[in-house]
Amino acid sequence: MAVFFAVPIGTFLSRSVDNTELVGMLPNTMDAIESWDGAGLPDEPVFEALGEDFLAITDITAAAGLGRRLNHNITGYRSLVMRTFSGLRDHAGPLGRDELIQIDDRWGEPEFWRVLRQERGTFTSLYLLASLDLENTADGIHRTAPENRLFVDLLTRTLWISLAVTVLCLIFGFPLAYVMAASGPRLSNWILVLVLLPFWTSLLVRTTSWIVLLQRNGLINQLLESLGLIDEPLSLIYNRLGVYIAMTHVLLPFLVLPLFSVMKGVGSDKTRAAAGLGAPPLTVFRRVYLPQVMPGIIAGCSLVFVLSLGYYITPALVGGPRDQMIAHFIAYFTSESVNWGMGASLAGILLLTVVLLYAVLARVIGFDRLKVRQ
Amino acid sequence: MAAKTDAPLVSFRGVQKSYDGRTLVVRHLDLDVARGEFLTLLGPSGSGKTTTLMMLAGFESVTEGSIELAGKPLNNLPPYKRGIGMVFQSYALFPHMSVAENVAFPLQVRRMPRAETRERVEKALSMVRLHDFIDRQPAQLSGGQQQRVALARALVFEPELILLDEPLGALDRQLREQMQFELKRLHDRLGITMIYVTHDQEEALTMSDQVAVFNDGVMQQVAPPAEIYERPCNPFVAQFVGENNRLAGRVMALDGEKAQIQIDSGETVTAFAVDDLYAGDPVELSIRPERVQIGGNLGVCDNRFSARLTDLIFLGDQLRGHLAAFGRDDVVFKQPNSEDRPKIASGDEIQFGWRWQNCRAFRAQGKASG
Repeated sequence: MAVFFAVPIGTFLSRSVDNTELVGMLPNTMDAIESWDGAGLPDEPVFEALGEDFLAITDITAAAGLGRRLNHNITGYRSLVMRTFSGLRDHAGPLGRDELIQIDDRWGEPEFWRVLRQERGTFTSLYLLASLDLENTADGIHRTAPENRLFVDLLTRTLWISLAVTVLCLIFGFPLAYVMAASGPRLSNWILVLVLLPFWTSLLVRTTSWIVLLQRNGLINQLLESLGLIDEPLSLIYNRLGVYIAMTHVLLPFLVLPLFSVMKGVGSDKTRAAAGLGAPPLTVFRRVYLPQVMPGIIAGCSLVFVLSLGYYITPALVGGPRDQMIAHFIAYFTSESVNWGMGASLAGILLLTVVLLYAVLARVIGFDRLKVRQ
Repeated sequence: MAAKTDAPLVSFRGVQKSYDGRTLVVRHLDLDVARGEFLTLLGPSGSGKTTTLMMLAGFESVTEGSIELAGKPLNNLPPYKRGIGMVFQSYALFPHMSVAENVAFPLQVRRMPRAETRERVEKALSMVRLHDFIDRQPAQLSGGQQQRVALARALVFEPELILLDEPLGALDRQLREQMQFELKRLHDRLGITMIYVTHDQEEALTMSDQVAVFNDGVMQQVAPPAEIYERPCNPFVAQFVGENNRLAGRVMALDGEKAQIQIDSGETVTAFAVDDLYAGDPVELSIRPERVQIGGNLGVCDNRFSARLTDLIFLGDQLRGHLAAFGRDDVVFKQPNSEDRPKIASGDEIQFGWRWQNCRAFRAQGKASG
């Protein structure tokens, strides 16, 4: 458990505050910049320390890594680092303020130095703050410029889509599970096969078949047009609607199966007893049936909700640009832009949100309500 | 309770039930249940007794015929409008409600004021001696206690009729006997009409005013317990209720109810003709083990034989033995352990016999025996 679960996840999540890459590459600068108060330009020794650190970098990929890392704080840092690196390749003699500013005059701007001062510790709050659309500048933590805000919106969108998909799954899954539990073994087995069939198909195939069905000239639009119900094709895909349809379909079995097994265990004797005691059908459902299948509803809904929080292939294929979910960005940061810090911090915030949500849920509903009582 | 009238509380008229449209699970049932009666539907599983109960409760539709409760036809009335209390073998308590909430349920759906509900719940639970368990959850109770809660829940809205579907089937023997006694006591005290389904003949005999024996969807006989036992109307009832020795034979001669019968192993016996028999009819004989006399005082017995005692079991209050006679070795007899009982041991050659009235001859049914 600890080795296969806690350690890898913990290591990944620690990336969100890890700053050892930067501190490891610029050790002298980080020491020297400690004495600078952040006003104006730092003193000569800081420049010399930076020069010394740069001379120690021999490998261009290491330099590129440093540039990418600092570019997260201020755009333009990458080219500054790369130009400094190549400018110092054949350097000999003293190396101080004048020489560095000569290579790139941006070393004369305090802004770039303040970044180094701010990031001098072993831990950085950069990624976590960025994930919440916040930034830490000389004058404290404040919200990023409106045009750069992205992640808070992304998080609420992810939660909202997941919630909507969960509700949709419940609306379609509850009657389905009920019919399965109430019908004879033959019919119930057939429905079970139909529910499980999507499980045995690849997620990509399932999602792309929705594209075939829902696209502008897809089957559904053609059918509706030939029936004369619509004049022009409905946009069913590459928008939020497409995401809802495809995700509900994909996640439906996760709600139906636990709910079905709970419903199966609720014998007809209790609903019969309730009817015999004088309760009309609606009262029987509300007061006797529903409370007994509640554990199944809660289990199914939480499964669907948690799974949909992590979905990214489906929204990427059938959604529009405004329908991407947080997992898409986590994947983007970890595998495409190689910004593990950002990926880890988004993942951490997602994890924290889910844990908080469950804590609230457990408080409101009560943990013992989640267990099946005999 | 309700004034005793001659009109039956429940009446089944020509009731049939079929699930697939071809085979009948219940066949042409005519049955009246008097007010205040304790009626038991007795039969093996698949005999139609539970289906009959479910049709009365409204959980199964009636294929043909009609059922009336207090003169009102029930056929098209949904279960929740019938006002019949029901107790299931599985107790069917609501697991998410406390004992008090379970018992209050029928009153709440009838929109009874809170104070009165509380009072009636407490009264009903006291009646089944569970008042101290009012705030428990059903899962915290034993099987017997749960069934008493179910009983209180069925009694609390004061229905005219309570149906009990093998309510004691899931309990162990000792508890079952105690519950039988309690149920009977409640029935006597409240004067309520109860219809009770069981496959346990002992239970049926000890509790009922009337027993209706079912087999293959047909009601075989309905009568008070003693009559069911002493005067079964056919071999099935004789066989199902109590133990008996069965012998197959053929009618030789008739003298009113007294029939001379040659049994298949060759001996001739005198028996009581239950059905209208004619000379030459194949018959089935039934003799209760306790009616088989052994030893000296066989003077009153019209049928007397001699056989070897194959084994003898001492049961404390009685003796039970097997005799090798009529071409078999398992003719059973039971004798009370009286002080003057004959001194016999297994292997002895002994005299035995019975009075002709105690050997009942039925016309052999369906598949010929032997």
